[in-house]
Amino acid sequence: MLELKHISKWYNVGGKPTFILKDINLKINDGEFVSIMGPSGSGKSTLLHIIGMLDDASEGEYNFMDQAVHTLREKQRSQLYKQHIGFVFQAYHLIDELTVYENIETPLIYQNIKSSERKAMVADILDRFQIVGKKDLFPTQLSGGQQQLVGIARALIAKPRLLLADEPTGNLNSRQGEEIMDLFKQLNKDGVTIIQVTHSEKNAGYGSHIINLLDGRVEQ
Amino acid sequence: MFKNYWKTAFRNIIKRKGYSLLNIAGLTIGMTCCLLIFHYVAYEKSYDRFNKQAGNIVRLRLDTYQNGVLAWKSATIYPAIGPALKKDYPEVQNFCRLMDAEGLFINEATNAKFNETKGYFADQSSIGILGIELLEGTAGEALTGPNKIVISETLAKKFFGSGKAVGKRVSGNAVSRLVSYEVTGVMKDYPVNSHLDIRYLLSYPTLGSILRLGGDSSNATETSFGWYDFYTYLQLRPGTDPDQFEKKLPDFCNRYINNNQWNKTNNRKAALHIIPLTDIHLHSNYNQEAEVNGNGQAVGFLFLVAIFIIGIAWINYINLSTARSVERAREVGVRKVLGAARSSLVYQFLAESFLLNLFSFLLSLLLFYLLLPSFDHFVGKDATGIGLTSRYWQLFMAVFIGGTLLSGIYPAFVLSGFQPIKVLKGIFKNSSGGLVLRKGLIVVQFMTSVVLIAGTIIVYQQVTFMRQQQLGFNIDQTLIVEGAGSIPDSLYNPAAEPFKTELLRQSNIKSVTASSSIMGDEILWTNSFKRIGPDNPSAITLYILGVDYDFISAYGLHLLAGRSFSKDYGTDARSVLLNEEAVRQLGFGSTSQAIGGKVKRNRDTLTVCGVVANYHHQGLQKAIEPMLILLTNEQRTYYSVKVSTDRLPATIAHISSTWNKYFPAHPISYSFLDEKFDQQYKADELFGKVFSIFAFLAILIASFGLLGLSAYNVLQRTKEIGVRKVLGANSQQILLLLSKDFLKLILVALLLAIPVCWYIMYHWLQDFAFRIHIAWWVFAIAGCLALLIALATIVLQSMRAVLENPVRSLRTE
Repeated sequence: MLELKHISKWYNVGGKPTFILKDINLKINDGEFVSIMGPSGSGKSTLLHIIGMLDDASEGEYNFMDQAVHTLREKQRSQLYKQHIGFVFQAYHLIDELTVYENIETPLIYQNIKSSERKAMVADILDRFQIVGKKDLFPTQLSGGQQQLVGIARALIAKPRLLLADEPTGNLNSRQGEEIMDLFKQLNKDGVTIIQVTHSEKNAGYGSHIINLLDGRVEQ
Repeated sequence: MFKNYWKTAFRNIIKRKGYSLLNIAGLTIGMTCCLLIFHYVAYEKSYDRFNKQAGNIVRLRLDTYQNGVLAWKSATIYPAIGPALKKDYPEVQNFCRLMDAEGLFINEATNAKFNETKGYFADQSSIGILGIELLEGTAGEALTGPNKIVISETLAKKFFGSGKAVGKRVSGNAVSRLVSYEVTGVMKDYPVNSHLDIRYLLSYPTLGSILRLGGDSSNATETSFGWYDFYTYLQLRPGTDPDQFEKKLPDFCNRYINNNQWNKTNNRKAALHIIPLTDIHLHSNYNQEAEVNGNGQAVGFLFLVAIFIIGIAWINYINLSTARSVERAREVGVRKVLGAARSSLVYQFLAESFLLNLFSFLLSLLLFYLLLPSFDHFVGKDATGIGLTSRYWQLFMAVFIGGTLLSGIYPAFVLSGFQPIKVLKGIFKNSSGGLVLRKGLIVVQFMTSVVLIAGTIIVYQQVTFMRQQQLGFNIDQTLIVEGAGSIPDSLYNPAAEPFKTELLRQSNIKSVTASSSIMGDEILWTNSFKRIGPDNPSAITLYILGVDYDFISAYGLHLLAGRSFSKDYGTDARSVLLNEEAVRQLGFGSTSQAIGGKVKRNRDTLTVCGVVANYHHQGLQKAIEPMLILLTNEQRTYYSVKVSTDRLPATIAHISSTWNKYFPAHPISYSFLDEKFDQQYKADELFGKVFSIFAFLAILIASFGLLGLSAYNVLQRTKEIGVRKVLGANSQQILLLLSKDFLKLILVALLLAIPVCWYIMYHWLQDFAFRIHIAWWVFAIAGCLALLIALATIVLQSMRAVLENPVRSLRTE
């Protein structure tokens, strides 16, 4: 599905480059469930953002579904991730002014999907996640676990091939965290490729494959 | 997609209540001001536009040069000019002349009397040119031939009740004669928004026939190139360029006027100019205007003020929304991750600003219609029915849409520009570029406010100065009674003296004097005089005031040299008084040298018997003109009656009954001189009032913005304040910390405002012959006021943060 070749990322601090990621080579196939682990500052989130095309690498090649992402323009790249990638955040990042229903619907709006079609898709996912009763509530009226559930529903609404999750259970208690991880496992079974960043060994255990990062490098 | 924009926009407005309220309040006030001012400007600019041919109609005016110096600018010209222009220039399709006719009318059938001053002797062509609509009578011949009158609908009702008016007869006074007129037409009441107030028109040939009856065979009403009492309008052929036509007028003047022997010997030149009909109300301010015209400069000022006030409100929107961008940054980041293109975010924020503006607009529309009647009352215009003309609606909509876009687009671009990765990582900060812009805009807001405040103070100072200045004559307790104009001289004089004597018998009446003009009125009686001397000086125009023996002493005019008029001197009919200005302009060396000096008009030689100190015959806007005071015992334009304050109603009743006894044909009409004189300052006073209101509103809106910004500033620095307090900072130190940055900006605004305001007000003051100097402390006061308001706003917002227990703000972290 995607392949990183010699990916590096650095910032210039006081004239000297400080490396966040150094020479990352990575290949992830369709249907994998990968966990990226490592201590704080090891570059996990940056790696996830580069994979999600929210950030550029300073160097290296990135191929996503047979497209050379590093050669694409901003617009084409946006088009690509809009269609194929869903994001789940530690802090949920739901839009407070929108209801549950509207939050889930938003990605479809940005893909110019027709209103009637949107309705069917949102209704479907609300049903699937068993949050139909919550659809008219605003995010602040929900518990953390419920918010993350909405966040995942929103990430999945456009039927992405790849789900990126940045510490999805970081703000949740352990019971809620388990539910979310079970959901991920189920999703993966249904064919969604998942890459998650996590601190927790237990959560990493849900995945099929673990990448350990230390000081910007993949530990073999 | 659009529905989604509106929904989020609406929810955002609701969610940030305080902030939206500040914006909406500011915008609503700004838009209401703008609508009211536009309404006023629209009304002022609507003058004479009801005339369908207005585009082709111009009025002529006359500049008279004396020894190469412009001596006289009048709205009226010579009666022979119109016909000559029509004869010589094919571009002149037609012309019409109007001459002031004021008088009393008597319904011949019932003998009911009506004093009607607003009317003119007018050519037949004036019906077409001035857009007069006849309800009765034949438009094509209503004013042809002598002794015809066309009256307004209202006048017809007044004169004749509800019946048909055409064919009935009224007699009226004209040039001291009673003339019988046949009513040949009833016109629709002439619109209020015209520079002319026409209640009736007398046929032009009437004037000539009266003069002939008086023994004047010169046919002056058709041939005179010296009698400048005639408003003359030209109807230019469609397609004529008025500027091109005006260029031909000097040549015309040379041929008809300047080559005249009298003008040559006296080194006089006439220059004719044209002014488009629709420009007269706002841009014509010459001698002998038909009505007091508007002030184009003031209207222009107000228009700018409107734009500034609404601009200040939009600046608030820009400042508040960019300052609070941090709050929106996360949303922007998330939306981008969810696939939003920048353009769709720009639309979203624009929708928000549009919604806010639209809401304010609807509110201001409501306010506008609610306030309109009181506003019109306040500015003394009856323009409510006119509302806003479609042209000004269009202009307002253009301003509205332009302002909404401009104020919306900058925040929209700032907000939509956030990089999601930075926002989501939480390493987001306000850009310093936006900060500079915000500071600049605050400076602009407060600069405008300070300019308006200082301007208001200066206008008030000038009006107060004019009111408090010594006028040079005694204005107190003077009752002005309008003379009985229509009575022929032979009947008048026998009544005048006994009238005076009988009044003076009353102990509460101190003096009674008659004169041709009264203080506060423009002197229309002028003549050319030259000093008789070996150096053969050229003639100058003197303003003539005809008075009786008691005028000088009754008004306490200060005699500098010589003597006043006195019955002890038999020759006083040939003696005159001059004012200092006339002494100077005529070229007498000094006031004492003028005594016994001779001045000449035509073949008439007069001796100067005294010199009076300059006094302000008109308000202090006007310079002191050279005056010649003439003893004319038959004067009866005005009686000035000095009364004592006690038992005033009884005194007035006595004057009325005495009047009715001697002048039974005329209803008495009186006023108080101080009130009448004060009328001259009403327009400037109103200007000051209107300005002060808008200045207040401007600073109010600007402080709304400051309120929002400082509230946000406090919010952002809550933690810092907490830490500082824990470290031992006291309340004053915290307040200083929070207000320092804003106060610096306001000081900058103040410094910039001084030269701008000085420049504008210096030019405004040039309209006044007597004016104040702009004092430095005006700016100090305006600055302090702005500073105080700003400080109060900031302190109000900061107090809560200052007083709060730091433990609470720190615990939330």
